[in-house]
Parts: sequence; structure tokens; C-alpha cells
Amino acid sequence: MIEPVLRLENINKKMSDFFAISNINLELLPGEVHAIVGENGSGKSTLMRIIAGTLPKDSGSIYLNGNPVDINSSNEAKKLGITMTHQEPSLFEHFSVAENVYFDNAPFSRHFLKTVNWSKMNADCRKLLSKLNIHLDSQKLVKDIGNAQRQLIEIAKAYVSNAKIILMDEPTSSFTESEFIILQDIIHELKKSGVSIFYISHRLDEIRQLCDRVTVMRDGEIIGTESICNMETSKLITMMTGLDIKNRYPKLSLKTGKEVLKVFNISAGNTLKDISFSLRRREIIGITGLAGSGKSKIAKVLFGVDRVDSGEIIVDNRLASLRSPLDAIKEGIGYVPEDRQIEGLFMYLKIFENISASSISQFSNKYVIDSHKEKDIATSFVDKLGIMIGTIYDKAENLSGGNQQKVILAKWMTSKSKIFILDEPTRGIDIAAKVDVYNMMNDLVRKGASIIMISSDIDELIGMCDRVMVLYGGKIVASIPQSEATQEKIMYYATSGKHADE
Amino acid sequence: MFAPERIRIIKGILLDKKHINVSDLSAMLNVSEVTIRRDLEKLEKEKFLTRAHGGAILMDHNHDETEDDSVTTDDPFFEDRLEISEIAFHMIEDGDIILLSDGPTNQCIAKKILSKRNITVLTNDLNIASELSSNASIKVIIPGGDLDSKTMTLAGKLTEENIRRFFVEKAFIEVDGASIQRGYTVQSIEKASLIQEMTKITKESIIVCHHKSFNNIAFSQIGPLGMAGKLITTPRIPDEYKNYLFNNNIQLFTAFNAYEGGI
Repeated sequence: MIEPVLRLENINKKMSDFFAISNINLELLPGEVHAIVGENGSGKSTLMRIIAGTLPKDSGSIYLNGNPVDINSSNEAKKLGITMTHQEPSLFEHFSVAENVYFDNAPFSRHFLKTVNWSKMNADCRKLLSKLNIHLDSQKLVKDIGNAQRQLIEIAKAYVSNAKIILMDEPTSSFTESEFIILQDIIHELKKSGVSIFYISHRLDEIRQLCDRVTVMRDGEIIGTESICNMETSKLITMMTGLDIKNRYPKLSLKTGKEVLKVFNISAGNTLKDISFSLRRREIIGITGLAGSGKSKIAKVLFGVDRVDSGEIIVDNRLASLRSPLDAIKEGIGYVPEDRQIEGLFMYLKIFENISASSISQFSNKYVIDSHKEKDIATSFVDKLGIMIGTIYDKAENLSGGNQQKVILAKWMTSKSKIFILDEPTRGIDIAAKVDVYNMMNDLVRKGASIIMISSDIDELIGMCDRVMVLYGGKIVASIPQSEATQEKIMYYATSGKHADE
Repeated sequence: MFAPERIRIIKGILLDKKHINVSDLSAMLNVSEVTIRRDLEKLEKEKFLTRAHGGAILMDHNHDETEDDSVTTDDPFFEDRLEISEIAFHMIEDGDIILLSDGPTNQCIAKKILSKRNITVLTNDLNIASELSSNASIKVIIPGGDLDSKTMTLAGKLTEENIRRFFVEKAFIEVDGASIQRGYTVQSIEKASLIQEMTKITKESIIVCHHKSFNNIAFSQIGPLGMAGKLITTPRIPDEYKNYLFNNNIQLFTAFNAYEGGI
């Protein structure tokens, strides 16, 4: 029997009232590439962060080569030979590639004085990059290079760290095929030298090529660990998604009207390729896909935050030029961003000021804001939407996530938007607030609005949307009507990237 | 200000003063005279008032009706019922065969669905039957039974036996109490027994009740909250119920009607 290099015993960690990981027992064998899969929010990253020392566990034990260890910081983890590559690379923007790669392992010319031997470092880095087939100038600043290459630098950094255990959190979400081949070679190399890897990914085809064993997580628990050759893809997907979809989403079936939005062949950089779809009056369409599939980019393009390279957007049968959010607001488009704290609210303004923020012209003549009217409308919303607050004079930052989300929705309702783009509208909010958000969506479509709902909660999309579009690598790979949508089908398209007609 | 709020205020003033003029209202509510006239027109259609030159006069019957608990202005849940009927409206399609149990919320639904075509309604509430009779394309079926002359509703053995002859697609069931421990409840044993029969002759049961019904236990139990897959109420219900219903796969519909002028 092989002794595992790393063993986790009964690890527990409560993150919030709605999310915890519990009773995690897991082993990592020497030279093994061990995949961790599960839907967003199943606890994969949380678990990795505990091993990497960046998140304290509540209870449980970690054994390294059979000895119990206490990992309280990423430095302690590095000393024990554990390093993590993050999904969003944490590199120093204004440092060169070489400086970033050798940050923890810089060659010193005089060890005593700790002066860095720059020429050796740059030479080493050039050698390393060419050995790993990464075509990149080692003296280039990180701020000037793209996401995929940053990820490769992050991996190169782990490669030179001499770590025995590497935790890779979705390394390939920004990768194309060529970068994946580079990664594949690096992983083979690492394996040969006895390094063990935990590999988080959503892409099941990749996992088949790279990994030895796979562990499935769901709702903060481990569902099972299997050797990859014993695991069929369909079984894997069933393990990831759990029970059949439940009929608990308050979907109102309304007759849809004429097309209010048409998107023709829009492309934007590497993130969106030839996207075309249309949205009807009173229709809710869902968009899903893995991280890096381009789903949030669509929202930003439609709201005028990001530009497109080519393609047309037609609102109400007229060609729309969406060069700024203001253009989008004028076209009647409202946007509830994924990050409500930074992009969605003025945290330091009062609630009623947030509610009127997108429609201030309604409340003012040229010079003065009619604050009575402003407050009247805010009061009515706060009452009707059940926003639990002291008063409308409270600051938005003091609200819970669910209530913040309701305030953002109220803002766009006030502005009389016709097309609502909701990016992850229920992420991180409690169930009661979720149900309220669903019913607010119903309210909007009942009054003739249309909604694009972007979410990684597939149950929710199937429950609330008339149609679900699946993105993979910036392309729409499937568009499934509600009656035919299932968890398995959507996961299949989202992970394997096969086209619907194949 | 929102229309329901305005209308509530106008009704209050009229009940108090019996007459009112448009310019006063416009100044008081800070909206244009056109808006006020539109509100008064709406209230005239509801037979709440008669419009007169430059103003409006309260209709006589309003004095009397404030005494009983039918759908009038002093019904504290009138707005709840209107909101619920908005949602119910979207659940009923032309050509449907439905059942409406007795109660003021279902009466509101009946009013709302007058614009539908070719629907068939089975009901034990004579108020509902009379409301629906104004649309000739709606077929109304009333079972036999004992008449409660105070509420104008039918119940009893005969009613139960009669309704067993039918089968409907959707039954809108109005209840008085909803509690996690005691389930759905109503005020009388006869009514509870009739509703139990009603849930047996329908493909789908949809519960309707106002927000104060929650955590309220009425006299006679019908069944657990899980007995129906859908529930329509208003968003003001306690959060614990939103949680419970979602976790137990019961669809909870709430109407917001937040911004009347919106979209």
C-alpha cells in the first residue's frame, strides 16, 4: 500500500450561514494528479485554500507524509512544500516575468547579503521558459501580458518552487488549445519528478487526459473518489449535479411578444466569438457557462461597458450604438452586475439615493432634485420589496447581500428599463431573498420587460428561464428550451464544448 | 406616489368627507389633475363614487357595505387580494377549466379573469358566480348544497357529492391560516371538508391567501403545506416560510406591483 503524501481527516469549515464544507476526508498519493470537480460553490476552492494555508480550518487534521501539520499561512505551506496556483493569477503587475517567477526562489549572488543575481535570474528564466515552451520575453512587465500567459507564469512559478504538492485552481479557464498542451507537458514533467497535484477544473475532457483519480464535491461535501478510468462521464455529471431538478422556482408562463433585442455575430477579442441571439418581449433567457466562457462579457457588451470588435446590436428594430452605459440606459437597458458591491451600488450613498441613481432626470428639473418624489418612490419600494432596513436614509453598505440586490433591482425598475441583464442575481444571498428576486423577475416580465439572466446555478436557470443558452470558449454551443433543459444536458455542453448538432 | 396609494388616500378622504374636488386632490397629492381624473374614473367603475363637475361624490351604498366584510375599502387586505389576482390571472389560459373556492380573494380573481375567453369555472361561491355571469363566454357551474346566506356560499354533503362529478385543471383554494406546524386551515369544519374534496378533483391545487394568514391557525385543518405545489401570496410573508416552501419544492408566487408607472 502506498503511503499518501497528504491526508485530510474530517476537515470542517463554515464560511457563512449558507455555505460550509464538512467532513472532508481525502488522500493525495505521490506523483498523482488528482482532479477535484463540482459545480460552482461546491467547496473546491475553499478546500484548496485550507490546504494552502490561506484560510484557517474550523476543525480536522492535515497529515503530511504521515505527520500531523499545522498550516497557518501560505509561507508555512511553502516551507512544507505546498504551493497553489490561483484561478486569478496573483502576480506583481509592475514586475517583470522573471521577477515574478523567481520571487520566492531568487538566485542570490551573495547569500549573506541577499543581493539578487539579476543576470543569472534572467538567464535562468529564459532557459526555463524555452524549456517549458512558453514563448515570452522574461523581462516583459506582467501588466503588459494577457490572462492565459499570466496563468502560465503562475504555473512556471510553482514549477521552480520545488514544491512537492501543487494545488492548481482552474488553471485552464483562460486557455486555448496551445496553452493547454504546454500545461500538459509541464504536468507530465512534474509527475515524473514525483510531485503530486490537486487539479480543479470544470472541463471533463481535460481531466480525462491529465488526471489519475477524480473526487466529486457537492454542497461542501465529498460525494466520492474514483479512478478516472472507472468513471463514465455521465456518471460523473450525475454525481456533480445531484438530484433531478426540483420544481420549486415560481415561473410564470407568459406569452412572449415581438423581438426587443437582436444580437448579430458579435465578437470581442478572444472572449466572444460570433454570438447571435434574440430576446422577445416578456421572455427570460438564461446564459450559463464555465468561468472564462464569456458569459459575463456578454452582459458588459450589452451595457456598453466593453466594446465589440464586430457585429451588430439591434434594440427595438433600430441599430443601437452602445458606447457607454449611458447609451445603454437610454436604450432602456438595465444591468445588475455580478459584483454588486463595487459595480452595482454607491455604498456610501443612502438607500433612496441609490434607488433614484439611474433615473435622476425623472426627479429633477434642470437644476434641482425633487427629493420628496425621490423619497416617496424609495419608501414604496422598500415597503413592497420587503427590504429590511431602519430607514431609507441608511447607507447601502449596511444592507445584507439580499437587500442590496433588491435595491439594485429597484433602481432599474425606477428607471423604467425594458431589458434587464442580471449577472448572477442570486449568488451569495439567502433563500428568502432568492425567492423575492425570482418574483421580482416575474413582476418585470408581467409588465412587459425582458430579462437576460446569467447564472452558474443551473437549477435556477432551468426553473426560471424560457430558454437556456450555453457558452463554451466564447461561443454559444447550445440553446435549449425550458421543456427540454436538464442539468445533465447543460453540464454536458458547458464542459465538453460539443456543438448541439454534433 | 403610486396609484394604489393614491387611491387609498382618495377613498379615505371620500369616506370621511363624502365629496371632494379635483384641484384640491391634485394639490394635496402633488400629481396632475389628469392623473386624479383617471383615478376617479377608475373608482367610478368600481362604483365607489360618482364623478361630478370638478370633483366626485361618494356613492351611497358605501356607507352600508363598510359594515360587512365583503370586498370594500375597509378590507385591510384589499391590495393583497388585487396583487394575488394579478398572478392568478397569468396562470389561467383561455379555454381552461378551473375551480374557485369561496372567499374574497377568489372573488378578486373572478373579477380579474372576466377578460378571459371560453373558460369554465366551477365554484361554490355565489358572489363569484354572479360576478362571472357578466361575460357570456365564461361557463359557470354551481354545485348544490346548503346556502350560508351571510356569505352566499354553498357547503355540506350535497356540495361535496356534486363536485365529485367534475374534474378541473386548476383549483384556486382560498385558506384562512397557513402554518408550518398545522398546515393550511379554514374557519369551519364544513369548509375544510369541502376543500379536501376539491383537491381530489383537480390536476393542480393553487393556494391563495393574504400575508397575515401566515403563522395564523384557523379552526379546522385541511392538510399540510405540502398538499399543494403552488402558493400565491404577497412578499410580506415571514422569511421562514419563504425558506420552508423553497426547501420543500413548493412554488411560492408573490406579486410586487412595485412601481405602477414602470416599464
